Amino acid sequence: MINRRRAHVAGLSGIIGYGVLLIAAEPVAGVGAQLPPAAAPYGREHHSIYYADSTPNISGFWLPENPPGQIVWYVDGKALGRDSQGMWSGIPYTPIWLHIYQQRQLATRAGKPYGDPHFNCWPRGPVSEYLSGDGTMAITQTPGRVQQVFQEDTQVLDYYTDGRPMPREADPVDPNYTPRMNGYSIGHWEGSTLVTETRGIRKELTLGFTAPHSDVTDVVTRLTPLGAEELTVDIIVTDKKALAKPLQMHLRYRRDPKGAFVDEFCAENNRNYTDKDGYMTTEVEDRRPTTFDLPDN
Amino acid sequence: MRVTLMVLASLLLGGIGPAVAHHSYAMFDRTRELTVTGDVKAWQFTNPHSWLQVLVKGADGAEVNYGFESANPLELSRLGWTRSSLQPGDHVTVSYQPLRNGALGGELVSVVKPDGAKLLAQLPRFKDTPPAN
Repeated sequence: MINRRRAHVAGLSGIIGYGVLLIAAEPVAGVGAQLPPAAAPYGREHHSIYYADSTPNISGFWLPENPPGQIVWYVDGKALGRDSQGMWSGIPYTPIWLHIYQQRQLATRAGKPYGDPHFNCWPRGPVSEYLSGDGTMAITQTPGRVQQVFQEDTQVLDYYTDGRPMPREADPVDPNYTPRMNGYSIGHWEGSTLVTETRGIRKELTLGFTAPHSDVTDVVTRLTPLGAEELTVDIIVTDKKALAKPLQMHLRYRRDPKGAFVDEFCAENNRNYTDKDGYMTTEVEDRRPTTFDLPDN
Repeated sequence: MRVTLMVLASLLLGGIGPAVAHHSYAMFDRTRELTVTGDVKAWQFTNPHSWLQVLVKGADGAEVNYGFESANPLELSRLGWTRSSLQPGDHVTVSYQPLRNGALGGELVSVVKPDGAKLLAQLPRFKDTPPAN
């Protein structure tokens, strides 16, 4: 009886806690909802700690306030539609890329998702990472350099803020072009806002849940602290091959002084690898996680 | 085997489901919810998804293995789940949304444990919104 009550309490408290999270978060944007305005830079008086170069301290552990799975793209300041499978309508793709996305949508609606290497535990990449089930991130800021570590698969964006240019390897027309899973990023401060640009992202990655992008995707992210405890993240994605218009996203984060990462590594027990034709599978047969021959206890 | 078919109104299902994590959930038929009773073979509180394996006795007495996919530990922990929520041998009743390809299993909805406690396994998910013009 005690165990039963505990189980009920545990389940109930989890649900209540989650409900509070949802209530506390920004309202979920409906189709056509207006993109919230970018945060105005806050004055120095709102920050308890400044570095010697006058940049605000945004180091720390940050929890997303947007409900998981309900983060949306905006175009021309208006929210896009999205279905229960996570697929968007209204992404302003150019014709070839629209056809690619439509084919992927058809496959997904037929019960055979296609077109996202994350099925095979590839990283989501710097665009889609913010869209993951839990976009928790840690920021480590030192003079001239910033590292953002995301909860899922502990993906890292590591970039300089000292004025150096974007690496040549990020440019598809450069002989040294070498795209990477997380691309190449550089950053600079505009007042209290950290502005980061990322290019050279592997084109196999997505704008989230099979939505493709090309090899010239350009991601500009603006991280603006709202005082010491809150942070807004405004993202603009341009892609001169795949997108006729930029995509925008607006997120809010809250500092968690007691935050800590938990294990969230896709390769642990993935049963959704793609088949030989690239379609996602679901393996219901039992498979032992990679404990190999270790005893259970 | 005791399988009870319940067709649920999409209204009831509209706001519930795993938070979007590793993949689309298109392979599950989210218009239906089934229940099955059996014994836990394994509870894998793992990434990118947790899996519940249940041995269910068929009409001929033979056991068949069902597999139920659920959210990752981070998400399930918000609903009160732990890696020890279920133990091998536990006699459980499982509600799930079946795989569209007919394989034995589906997306985990809830589990009723031997002591009658019910654990929910689904979190708010994407809301259907009409296409933008």
